[in-house]
Amino acid sequence: MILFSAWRQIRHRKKQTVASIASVTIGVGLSIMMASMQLGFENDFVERIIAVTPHVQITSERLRPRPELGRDRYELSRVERIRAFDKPMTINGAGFWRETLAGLPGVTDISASYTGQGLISFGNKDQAVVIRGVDPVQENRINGLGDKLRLGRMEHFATAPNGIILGSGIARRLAAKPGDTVTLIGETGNRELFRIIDLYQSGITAYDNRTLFILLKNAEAFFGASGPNEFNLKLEDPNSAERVAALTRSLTGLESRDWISENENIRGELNRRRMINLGIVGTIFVVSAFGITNIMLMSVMNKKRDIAIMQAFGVNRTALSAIYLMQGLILGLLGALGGMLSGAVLIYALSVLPVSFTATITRQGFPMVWAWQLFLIPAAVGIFCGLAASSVPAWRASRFKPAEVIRNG
Amino acid sequence: MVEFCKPAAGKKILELREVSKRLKSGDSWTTILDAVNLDFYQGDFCAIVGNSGSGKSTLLYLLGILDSPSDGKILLDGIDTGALDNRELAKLRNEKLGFVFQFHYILPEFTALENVMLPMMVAARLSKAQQRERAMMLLDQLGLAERRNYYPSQLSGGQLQRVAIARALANQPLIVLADEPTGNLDSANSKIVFDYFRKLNQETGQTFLVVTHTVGFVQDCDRIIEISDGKVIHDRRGPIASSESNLSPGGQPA
Repeated sequence: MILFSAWRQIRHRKKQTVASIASVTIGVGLSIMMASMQLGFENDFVERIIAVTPHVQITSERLRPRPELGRDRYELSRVERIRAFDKPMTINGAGFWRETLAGLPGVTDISASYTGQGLISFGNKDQAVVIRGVDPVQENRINGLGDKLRLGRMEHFATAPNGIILGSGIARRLAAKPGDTVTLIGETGNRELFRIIDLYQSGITAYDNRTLFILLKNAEAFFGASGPNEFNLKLEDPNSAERVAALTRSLTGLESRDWISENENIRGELNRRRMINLGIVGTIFVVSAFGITNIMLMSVMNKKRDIAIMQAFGVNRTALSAIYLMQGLILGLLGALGGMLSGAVLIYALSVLPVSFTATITRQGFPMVWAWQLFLIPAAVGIFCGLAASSVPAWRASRFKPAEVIRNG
Repeated sequence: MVEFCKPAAGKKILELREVSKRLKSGDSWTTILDAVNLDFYQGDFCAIVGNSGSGKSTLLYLLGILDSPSDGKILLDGIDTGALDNRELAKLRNEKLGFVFQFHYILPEFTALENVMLPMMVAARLSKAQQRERAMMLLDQLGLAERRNYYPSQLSGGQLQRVAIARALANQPLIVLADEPTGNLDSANSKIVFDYFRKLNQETGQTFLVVTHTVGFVQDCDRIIEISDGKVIHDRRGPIASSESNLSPGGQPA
């Protein structure tokens, strides 16, 4: 009787029903779309960060100076440090550490690299750059280097004697192209010629404008280093990076950076945006709930004689409330269904819409995410919204005194 | 002088003991009914008459436990209604009482048949098919079988009032309470309603308590209760002469 009566009432007042359902649909649809976009941007950001930086990077930088055993050792220690400064720092016992780190739980891949600063010169232009000496095969496993090459000449890079891959931003600034020969200038003034094999484009402009790749052995020779100064780890679960970094720090005594901590400020910004979106969506839901309450209260007031007659033929207060709560539930359900459908349409439309971003991150179209939680959570909120909105009308309907209503018309 | 009615042969089904009703108007209280004592018996066919504002409708709402008295006791089928909560009162109304008002109050979102089925749905004693069958039977008796699937907006005033009557009778109530049931009907429809009430009263022994101004209706009732200023001034069995009542020959209050 409750469902039957509730359904007939909402079917009877078609315009108000459509308006109520539409308000929930808009709330649910927009929240799904916004959540999908927010998550899409977050995932995209994480993917891009992870794609260019290892999950954990162990550097040759020691966390603490070596223990000084006594005063008479102090001078020696200072000398050692000066020496260490003269000679590029590398990871001592790289072979041992490589094996140890690769065996840590959750580590799926490891690569060794040498990173240093330098200048690149082409024609009459110079630019400060980050020179990364990598093993192409290992680097490709860690961050998919090969996928980000414009010409896809990964194998050529691995075999060419003095090959170099330039970040696309560097190439643009220098007006250099594959096939050109550039000069790398080291900190000590040493110069070496390299031939551009390919251009690298990660999508993160700051990275593409500063980073270039040469082979690890060439980097070691260029910097005069005796081994790598970094180990790069790929983890099974990227979100465990902070934990793994803490472990490698305590294990090796070397500075270990994880992608989460390194990008804390951007994550903070993403969280702030998430809160703003939540606020917008919350406001939409509150407005739609008020709309439904208003419509239903009007209906209750218009139907008070009908409610009184229902009481006369035996419908009790609880059942009367239930009829209106059921109406709210039905409106919420239909609105949620409509919202899920419109949310799906919006997600699809935005994911195929040709849009390009030219800020820090460049890409085509919106990075939308499809996940059932994105649909179910707003839908549940929409249903709750309908139910909550109907609670006041439901209470009001149960408070009428039938004799008074019938007496006063 | 108050003339009290002799008990009928049937069982006592409704009792009012020192029932008063006061309503607040502004800062003061107005007494609508004042210490009314009445007994109703199974099979009573009773008209309640009186001037406008005499308290007859209030009396009917109290009899139908749609309202509660300020003082006194109402016993319905031996049950003290003052001791019941809202849920129990609703159940009692559903099972034992049927209401017909001057305005039909047919719910617009249901068909005629569904309107009649609603009290049965609330009671949930019969299966859906049985509810449907009984509703169709009632509508058929009231000449509305053809219009059972019509919505209220498609029916005339007289037809709607007949649907309301069918709804009031849906659960075979012990007592049918009617407040000016023919007040908005023409004489032909009024006669249909009266004849149907009378027929049911005689065949099933159902009690009819009818607030009315219609002379023809009053004159054919077995019992007439006249209310004035919140008090019962006449309560007797047998027809009332129009000169005794406050009714005009046309059926409207003088």
